Amino acid sequence: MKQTTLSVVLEVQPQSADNLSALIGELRHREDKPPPGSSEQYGRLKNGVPVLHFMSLSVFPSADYDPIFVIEANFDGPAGVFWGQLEATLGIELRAMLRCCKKPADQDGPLYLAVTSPDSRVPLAPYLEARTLRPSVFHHGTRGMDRDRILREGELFLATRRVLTQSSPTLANPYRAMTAEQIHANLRAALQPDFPWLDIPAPIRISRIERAGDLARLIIFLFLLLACLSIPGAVIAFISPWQRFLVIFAVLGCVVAFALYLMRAPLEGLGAPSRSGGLTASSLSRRNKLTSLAHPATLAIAVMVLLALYIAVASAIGTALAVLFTGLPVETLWCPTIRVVALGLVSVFLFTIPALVFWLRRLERRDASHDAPPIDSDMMLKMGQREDRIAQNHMGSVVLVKPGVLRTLLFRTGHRGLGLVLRVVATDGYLGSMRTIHFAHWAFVNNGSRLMFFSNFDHSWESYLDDFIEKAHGGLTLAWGSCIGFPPTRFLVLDGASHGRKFKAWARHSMAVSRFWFAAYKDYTVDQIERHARIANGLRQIALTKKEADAWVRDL
Amino acid sequence: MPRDENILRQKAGGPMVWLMALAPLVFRLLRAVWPIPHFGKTFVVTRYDDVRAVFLDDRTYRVPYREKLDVIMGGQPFFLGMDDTADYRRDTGAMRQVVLRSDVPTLLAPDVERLAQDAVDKGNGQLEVVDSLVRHVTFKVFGKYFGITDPPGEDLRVWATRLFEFQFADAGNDPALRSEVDHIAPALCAHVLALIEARLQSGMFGDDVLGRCLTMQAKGEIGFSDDQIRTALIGFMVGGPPQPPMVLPQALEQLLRRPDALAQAQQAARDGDDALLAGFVFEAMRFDPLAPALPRVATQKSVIAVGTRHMTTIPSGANVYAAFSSAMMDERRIPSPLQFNPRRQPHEYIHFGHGLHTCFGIHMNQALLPLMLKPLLKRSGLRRAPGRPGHLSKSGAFSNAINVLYD
Amino acid sequence: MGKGSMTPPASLSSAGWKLKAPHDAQAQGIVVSGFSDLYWAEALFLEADQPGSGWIAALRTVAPITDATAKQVRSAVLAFTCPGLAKLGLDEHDLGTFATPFREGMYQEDRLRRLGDKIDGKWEPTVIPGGPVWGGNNNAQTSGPFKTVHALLLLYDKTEAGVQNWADQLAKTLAPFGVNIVHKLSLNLQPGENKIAREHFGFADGMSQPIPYGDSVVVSNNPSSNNRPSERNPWHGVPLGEILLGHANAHHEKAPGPYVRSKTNRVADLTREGAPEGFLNLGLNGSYMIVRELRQDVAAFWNSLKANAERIQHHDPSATPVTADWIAERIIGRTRDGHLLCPAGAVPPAPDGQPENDVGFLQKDPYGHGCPLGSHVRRSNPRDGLAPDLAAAQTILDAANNHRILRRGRKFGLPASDPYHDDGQERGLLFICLNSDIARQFEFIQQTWVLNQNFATLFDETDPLVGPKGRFTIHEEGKPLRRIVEVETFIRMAGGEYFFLPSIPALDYLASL
Repeated sequence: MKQTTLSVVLEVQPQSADNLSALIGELRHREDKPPPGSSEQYGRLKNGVPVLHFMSLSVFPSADYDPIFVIEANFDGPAGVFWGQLEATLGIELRAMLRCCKKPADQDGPLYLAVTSPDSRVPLAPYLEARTLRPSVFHHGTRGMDRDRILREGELFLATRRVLTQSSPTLANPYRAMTAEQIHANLRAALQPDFPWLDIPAPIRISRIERAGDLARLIIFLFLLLACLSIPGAVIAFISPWQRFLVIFAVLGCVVAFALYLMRAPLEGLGAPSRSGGLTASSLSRRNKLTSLAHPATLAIAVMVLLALYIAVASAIGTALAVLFTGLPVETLWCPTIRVVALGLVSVFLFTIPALVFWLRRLERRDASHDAPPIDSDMMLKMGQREDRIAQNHMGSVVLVKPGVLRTLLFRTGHRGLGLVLRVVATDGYLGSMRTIHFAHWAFVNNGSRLMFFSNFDHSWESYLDDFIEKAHGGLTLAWGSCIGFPPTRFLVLDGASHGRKFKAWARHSMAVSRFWFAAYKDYTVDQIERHARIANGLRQIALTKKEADAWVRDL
Repeated sequence: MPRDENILRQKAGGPMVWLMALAPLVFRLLRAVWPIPHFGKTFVVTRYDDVRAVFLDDRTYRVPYREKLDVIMGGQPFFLGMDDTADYRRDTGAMRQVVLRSDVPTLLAPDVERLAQDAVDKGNGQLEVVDSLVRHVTFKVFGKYFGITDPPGEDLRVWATRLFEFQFADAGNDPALRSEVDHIAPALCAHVLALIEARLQSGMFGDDVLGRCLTMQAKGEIGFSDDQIRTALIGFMVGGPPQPPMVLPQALEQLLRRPDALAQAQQAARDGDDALLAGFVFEAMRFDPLAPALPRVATQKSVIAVGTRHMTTIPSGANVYAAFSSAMMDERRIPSPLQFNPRRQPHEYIHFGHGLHTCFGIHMNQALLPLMLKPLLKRSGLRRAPGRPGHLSKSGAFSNAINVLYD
Repeated sequence: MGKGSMTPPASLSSAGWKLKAPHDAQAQGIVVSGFSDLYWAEALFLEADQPGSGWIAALRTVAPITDATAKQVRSAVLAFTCPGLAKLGLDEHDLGTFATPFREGMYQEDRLRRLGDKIDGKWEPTVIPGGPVWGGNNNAQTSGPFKTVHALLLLYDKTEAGVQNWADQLAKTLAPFGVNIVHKLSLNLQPGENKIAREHFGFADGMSQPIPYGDSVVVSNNPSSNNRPSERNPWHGVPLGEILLGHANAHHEKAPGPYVRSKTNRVADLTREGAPEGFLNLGLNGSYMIVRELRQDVAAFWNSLKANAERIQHHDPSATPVTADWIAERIIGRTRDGHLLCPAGAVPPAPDGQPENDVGFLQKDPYGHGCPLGSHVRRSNPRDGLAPDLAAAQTILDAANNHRILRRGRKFGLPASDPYHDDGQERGLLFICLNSDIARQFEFIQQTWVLNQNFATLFDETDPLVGPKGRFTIHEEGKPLRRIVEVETFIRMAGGEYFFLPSIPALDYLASL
């Protein structure tokens, strides 16, 4: 089952912001402490919206903008179904909250008025659908696990513990005398009546079509990127003989490379060299699996294949276009087209990328970072009160984006690329060596002038941020580094988040109180969900080989 | 029980049946490309959101039942034909005092299950479901519950069904049916008034709905004049009991088409898991509900689906058909609508209308419809009778017959 | 002080270190040493009933605060709580430059939840009934009697009588200033069996410590090192700023400490270096000291383990003998003499005969077949054990080393004569540790590792030693099924607070307020 992450960002009427916060607070109170006799905590949402994994409602105040009201939702399947369920469950409360928001100035205005007019009975779902914001980057830690399956396999796990326990202190526990295969067979026999779904094969988590689509999107993105970056070189390749072309670009490349070499080091006091965990050449290791792109050999082969494929595809398209525009026969055109494409590609690596990096590095050296962002102690207290109550925690943050042509281009492209790469690479929940995120996403708001981040993660906020600082600072610096006040970065992925304390202070300062937050399986971490899945997958098999059983039994 | 051939007026099947079979596909197409098709002043609303919006906006989209109701009730207003007025709230409020939700588990459910069990036992391995089971049980139980007996020498089942057809399933205004109704309606009024008179005479009101009404009348409560009591009881009798024999056989037909679902539904029946059984029955009904759409009349110029690409302006006086059968198949809101799933959310069903004119008997239906099939489903070897009789035959909007065998 | 004369921080440590001048004369001695040759100690918890700092000078005449230069015949350590500093005369503004956890104190409501002490208004079973009896302030609303603590004075001496006389002398000195000893614990480090200092359950303690390096301030105390800067120990090396304020820390900056406005009318040796313009560096060479009084229930520990051993024998008659000792070693993760457990038994000692501590878990014991995944040592410092694969091992080890604390605790109370019999005596550990970032170091360890119900994909269990009653998982090589031991609550917190351990110049400054 494919999961969906989205958010709805609505501008709030400034005078109604407190009212809105109070409405969200009331909802939280009612769900957190339901009236006696009614369902469990958050039961209304849990039962009424069975596709929902995590959801939050927050209000972000800002000195630069009117407050925004954000509905963040992570669920199974298509959005329409989710909105239908949410409206059926929280329609009354949501409509009251929407009334605190501004009427959109665009074509959604009439729909807003219809939905929020006094005594309106117009369905909300179309409005929420119309205002939906798709994330620029998102990550799913439990890819392809629908909520029912997570809950079901969790129950199975608890049942295995009950079966394996000998409640009498003096009798022998029969399971202790068994081999792994026998344990498997007996446990399966004991559990199958209560869990008939063990007879059905496990649902496929990521279908081949989805996988192929993710890969295709990434490759198309990379090809388009290469095509754009080779435009300057390709233009010159039209008029320049190839020997001359190579000499000119080699000289240009050397000049830029030397300039870059001079400014490679961090400025005094702005460096944060980290020993490990970054997106650097050293994170390639032959200790990685051969199937992983973090293995140097695999990466080299992948890059070669990709470049060759690019030359073939770009030349084919280029030839076709040339035929279309010139009317000349293919035979006369394909050879010069390949020449232009290939030289253009050479120029990308010799000149265009180094030149862009040089420009970037100049900007980075002059960027201001926010060393002591003001932190509202009242907000801090409210955040503290809500954190660390269940196995997971939630954070939502909104920050300003640095202005400028290069920043905007790099940041938007970087986000698009990171998003596509994550879909291809992060299929087992791991981001680098951390696997504590259930659902996280970034999205651009206010016409791209602000960046919003939401995450539903395991363990404490401190440990989550430390994970970023210690284990995933490269990717994080890439995703957040172009925001105003972020600790000083170098080459887009270095330093940045490694300035641990500054980064934490900056992140805290950008956060708003998660006024309403729903988690559908509050006891299970990502690791634990994967453990459940391994146990369940084993029990779905009629029999295991000795090797399989020995590995499987460790999880019990 | 002998099959009474005269309860339904016999109509030819033919093209109508075929058209109805195509409806789901047509609706699916319409939802995608033309969500609110219109032909002159007739509009059909096909998407889930829009159907709900039409049902919920009762001020704009009124029920068109008033005219024919007046024929049936002799001019006395019944709440089905009303807008959301003080009269409406008074009348429905009054009736909620005598038709209690608590009656369902204590009075009605045991009767339904017992009578259905008797019918299945009596069938002795083969049964015609429409009449011998569902209609028989429904009329027995509700006749007793409301306190309305067969008119002397007449059949209440025929009368109620005819009036129901006239009211809800007679878009063509068949003159033959009208002439029957012109005879039945006053006769039924007279019959119910006679029942009221007899109770008043005897002084023994009893604990059925009629009796409770008379008790309220004696206490001087508002909304319980003889005419009001008479109208409400006729309204209940005409509006309610004719429906289960239409829709339950359709549900059974859908189950018989899905052996896996049938087997699980039977298991739920045997396990006594009434909630799950209800899930199976209502899910089956989703694939073939009571009707494709319910009619409404626009009282003012209005807009449906504001701010969306299929926004449509409806002129005043237009006929609007809210296609709830299509809404329940709308993939925009219903998860995997083509999948048979007995564990759906309540909001995914619009079997009983929505908003102001939500079926008055919704709680009875939700509890009792599954129970009527329960004894039959409990039987092992439940299967169609051989040949055509084993498949549901229809007569216009009504289910005609379906024969099943069991061990 | 001559080179090499400093006692190693823990007698069993295989790698010692010391500070270079002038920092050695500025830092308090406890930073570099646990005074392990001074067996006897007194912890005096002080409350000042009136504002003023005059008592510090009087105290120092009787008990000079030991610096980190030379070994003394007896030693003293002085640290303050946040209310204590306010009492001395630091104003709101100056106090605002201290770390938030220190200012809020250990009993702030949300902190109590994170530390596992009090959740949803109820004290957890790991706290003595009625709540702790002492702290910097009583904002946790304990129900029993409560002592407010403004300062902690630790006295170390070679003999029991010596330290007690010294304590009595101090009480007399302080009384005229209105400074009272409101709580007192007698600590000792006397070696037991095999000449090893043991905590009350019988295990060698203080085995694994971070080893600071960096800033050319730390030198090895190995005589052959010739005062060269210490190299980073690959397993336990931490930048000095993790322990001492004002030095480079793991986040590539000078560990931020408190500073005060520079006033010309006050004589003090505080440096301006490292402080913002117009301020003096109060934090340099100071540290934050976490103190928790943990009472140990020796009889509960051994009786519970004995019952568990019997239960396991019944459940699994074919089991290799499982004894209370066997379970206890797995709860700790070490043998009684301090050797780390591994699948083959225990890790062989280092060449110097001391327990080998330069050990990773990922390659030697990935499944916890020797040292259980949830054992106290693995939860307190998982090293590289949480890495998903070998490629990530270095990252994970580096990450774990960003959360180290320097432990300086000692036990109090008499040894239990019969470990299976509850003699009603109070005994336990006065847990003391130093770090520069309370939230990232001490609190992180407590919350994310020690008491985390989901640590290392264990489920619904916490630290078997210091956590509340619950499960404890033991994997064994060749046994398909894990053993689940039902442990009781063995350790209860009776009081605790965050203290500021000032440098000697900072102490001079505070005394001059």
